[in-house]
Formats: sequence, structure tokens, C-alpha cells
Amino acid sequence: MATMKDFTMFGKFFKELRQKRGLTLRQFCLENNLDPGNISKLERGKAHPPSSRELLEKYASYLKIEEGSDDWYNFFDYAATCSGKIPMDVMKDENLVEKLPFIFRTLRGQKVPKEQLDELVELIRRA
Amino acid sequence: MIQLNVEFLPYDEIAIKAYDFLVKFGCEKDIPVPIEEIAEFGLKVDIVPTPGLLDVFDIDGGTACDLSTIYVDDFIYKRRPTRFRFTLAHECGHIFLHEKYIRMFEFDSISRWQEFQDQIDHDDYSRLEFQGYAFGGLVLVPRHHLKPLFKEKLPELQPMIDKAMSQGFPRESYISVSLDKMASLLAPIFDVSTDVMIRRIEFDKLQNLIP
Repeated sequence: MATMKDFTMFGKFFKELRQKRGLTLRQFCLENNLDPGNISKLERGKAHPPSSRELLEKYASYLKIEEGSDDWYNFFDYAATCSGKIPMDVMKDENLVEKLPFIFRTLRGQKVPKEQLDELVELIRRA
Repeated sequence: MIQLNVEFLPYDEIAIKAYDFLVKFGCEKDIPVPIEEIAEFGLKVDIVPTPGLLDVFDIDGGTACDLSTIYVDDFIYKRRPTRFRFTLAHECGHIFLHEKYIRMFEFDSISRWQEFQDQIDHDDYSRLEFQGYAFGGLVLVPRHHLKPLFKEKLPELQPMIDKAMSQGFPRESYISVSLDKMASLLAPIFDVSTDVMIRRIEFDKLQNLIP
């Protein structure tokens, strides 16, 4: 059975390669016309790696992975390992709580009203 | 009421901490300050674009309790570059200045976190936010760059000031417009909004240098 580490290693490897290129998430996505929200989820193991070989090859080219290199094989191996195996409970409450914001930068410097906190928790769970 | 007893930090002390922060990441000479790179590569946080934060909650951004993640409203992330930079700098302020308060609380459930959000002392909350705000401005517009650049740009205000003076207007009547003009000259250099620029000029009392 795959471990939690297995589920996140594609994203971690993706992020490592992007950062090796010296690009922030935003810069990388701007350069390649990608949605930063989706790539962020991919890197954090909150979204499946694409199952399409064509899309994976595109990502590999954006990351400047040389075809046939160790990174190339690892990239596709990790994608295969992680593909379709993200557990549904990856953001269950005990994992989520430490990812909730401590305080927020709000428009008016005010706290979020109590009645909105549940909604905010769900928004962060989906982020 | 949940109290954190957040210590009072004078603006000058926050300025020193902001400078220390820049030195720590080797960016004290860089203008505009590469705050995104500092956050991602230096502090090693994930910057997560989050749809709905601003629309629904009036939130620009926030830092996760485990300090691993900075959430930024998706619209600000994609469409408001100066506000994005300021939000990041502000949140970096929480990580750099407030880690000890954040680490004081290890929430074991969402309801505990909600209780904290509801009951955190308002003065503590305001103090944390003010310090984050001040730190954000001081990191993006560092003192050691601001004053020399302000002086360098002063001559560009002179024609407007001369005109106002020749028409007999007192200083009070042109100081605001001079300040606005100076902010619009400096803001692109620091890659911040004119609002942030004006606040920084005012906090450092540089408007007193305008004749």
C-alpha cells in the first residue's frame, strides 16, 4: 500500500526542479501560461499528477528536464506512483488544523466574524 | 478572552528588525526587494493562491499556524502585483516577528482554532497586525534606500513648489500634492503602491524635507 510520502513525492520533486531553475511559483506559471493554483496543489500533493503522457512531457520540458536523464525517469516514475492515489482524507481535520491561518491580513484590520469561520475553514481545505 | 501579551515594538525597532531580515537573506542592497524569492527560497514557505479570500472575507492573506504556508487571495496574486508584494511582506513579518506567539498555540482541533479566532484579545490582534503592516512597509521600502532616493528626487518637485510660492500659497497648501507627487516618483522604484509609499514617507517624517 502506498504511503503518504508516496502521494506527495511527485509534487515535491516538481517543486524542487522548479526551484532549481530559480523560479518562484508565480514566475514559473507566468512563463508557461499555467494556473498557479493548480500547480500549487500539484506541488503540495493536493492534486493528482496528470495521467496524460503528453501533458507530463510538457511539464518536463517547462522544468527543463533533459530527456533520458535520471530526473526524466524519476519524474515519470513519481507521476505513475502518485497518479490516482491521492487519499481522500489527505486534508482531514487533524492535518488541516495546522494549515489554518493564525491571523489574517484583512481589508479593515478586523477579525473574521465567528459565523464565517466554518466557511473559511472549508475554503482553506480546498486551497 | 485569549491573551498573547504581544510586546510593544516601536517603529524604529521594527525598522531594525526589517533591516536584519533583509541582511539575513542577502537582499539589503536590492531594490525592488525580491520578497517573493525571499518567502519561497529563503523562508521556504508555499505561497498558495486562494480564491475567495478577498471576495468573501475581505482577507488579503494569512500565514498557516505551522508557518509553512502563506495564503494570498487569488485575484491579488494574479492581478494586483504591488498588493501581492505587500501582503507577502506583511505575512513575512508575522513569520519573522511573531513566531513565538504563533508557536504558543498548537491547536488540536478546528473548534479550538475557531475559539482562538473568536476570543483573541483585540489589542493583541491589532498589535500583531500593526507590526506586520509596519514590517511590510519597512522591508519593501527600507530606510537606508528611502532617504537618499527621496533627496535625489526632491529637485523634481521644485518647479511645482516654486510656482505655488510665487503665487503666495503657504507650504501647507502644496505639501499634500508634493507628497503625492513624490510618492508617485518613488513607488515604481520600490515596486509598491503609492499608498504604501506615502505611509513610509510619513512614518520616516521625510515630508519635512520638502521646502
